[in-house]
Amino acid sequence: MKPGTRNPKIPQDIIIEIFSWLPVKSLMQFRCVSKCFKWAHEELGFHFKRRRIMEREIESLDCDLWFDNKVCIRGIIYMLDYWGKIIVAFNIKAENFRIIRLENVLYNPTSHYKLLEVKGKLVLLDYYKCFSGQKDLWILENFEKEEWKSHSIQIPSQWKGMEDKLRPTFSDCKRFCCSYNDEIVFIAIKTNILECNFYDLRKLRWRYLEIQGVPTEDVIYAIHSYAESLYSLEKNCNTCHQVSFEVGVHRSFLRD
Amino acid sequence: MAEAASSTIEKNNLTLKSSYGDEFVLEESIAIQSVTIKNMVEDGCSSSVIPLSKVDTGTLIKVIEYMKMHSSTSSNEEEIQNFDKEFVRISIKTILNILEAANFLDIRSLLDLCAEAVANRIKNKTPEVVRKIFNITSDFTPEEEAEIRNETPWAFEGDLDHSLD
Repeated sequence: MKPGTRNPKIPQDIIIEIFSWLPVKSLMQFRCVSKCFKWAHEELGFHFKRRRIMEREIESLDCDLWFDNKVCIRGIIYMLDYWGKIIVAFNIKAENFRIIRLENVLYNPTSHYKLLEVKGKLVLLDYYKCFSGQKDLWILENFEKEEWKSHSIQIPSQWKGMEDKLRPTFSDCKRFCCSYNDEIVFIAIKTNILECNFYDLRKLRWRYLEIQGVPTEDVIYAIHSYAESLYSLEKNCNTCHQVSFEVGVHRSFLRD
Repeated sequence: MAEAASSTIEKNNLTLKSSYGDEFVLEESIAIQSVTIKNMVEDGCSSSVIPLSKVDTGTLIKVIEYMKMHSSTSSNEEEIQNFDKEFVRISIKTILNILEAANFLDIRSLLDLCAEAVANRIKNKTPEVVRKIFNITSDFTPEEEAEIRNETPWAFEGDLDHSLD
């Protein structure tokens, strides 16, 4: 046989090079090609070149993405533009992007918004204006049609005047919020104590929980339940040290 | 006039020899995009012919074409992008040959270009076709293969491309 007429035996490092450009679906499929391919897949770990393709695509979107402000819901990663003008939705399975424009939804694009997931839906919380009693947050009711619904957070009458203590801040990381199932959790850090106020978006009810003995000398950024944590993304994005707590283990305690 | 001025500057040339024995003369400044050649030049091998026993003539011609374009100062970014797009519009087999040469010659940008091109061409193909393209026989037992398929059944859904190129 003349040289060059058949494919040469491909060295493993070249297979790794090719694999690092493949989408996840193909990678999973090609694991069954041969043991060498399966090994190459395991060796690869994080698909860094795919990431580069995606970064290239994000660049072409011409927006200032704020990677700290992102949430993953049902296979779609939502990222908020720094200027609050657009949300970039990345579909993990299809590996494509979609732009959700906010100009017609938000009247105050200069405000700071936090992306949250509440019961499988995307929620935009206005950090500066929440607890104002009107349009404190926006819920993406229909992803396909981009239908948003506003919501006013109801606070008990005896809490009137305490809005400032609940409202998250950007400046000192002492007050922040996250979400857990149906609830938005407003957290304030006191010495060794986390004061957690859970707001149920459906029942419009509040409950309070104190977590004692937390290492507050570290900067606590967010509280995750492990099942929903996208750790590899967090690791790449956070500059502050981040402490994760498993909220799930407190569930039985919460019901008391 | 610019040409006249540049011709007065003496350029170092290198001779690259393919596995078939064909020789190609190339400016050193172009050839040192290959880290392997650059190291050879720095080690003092530049005066003699550089034998590339792992690169056949056809592949070497393509590699030189790529290096010339990418060292050209007259072409802009868009022209280079278009060149790259056209460059990989060849059979997968040829790209694989260039990929191996790029790996041996250590030309990172060419390696990335070819690896991405192969990935794009095979991403929708079946594992069977991929075996043929890479000239691989499966070393899994049917049970082992079925087990892998069952781990991620979603990866095997949808329309797949059965063509070889």
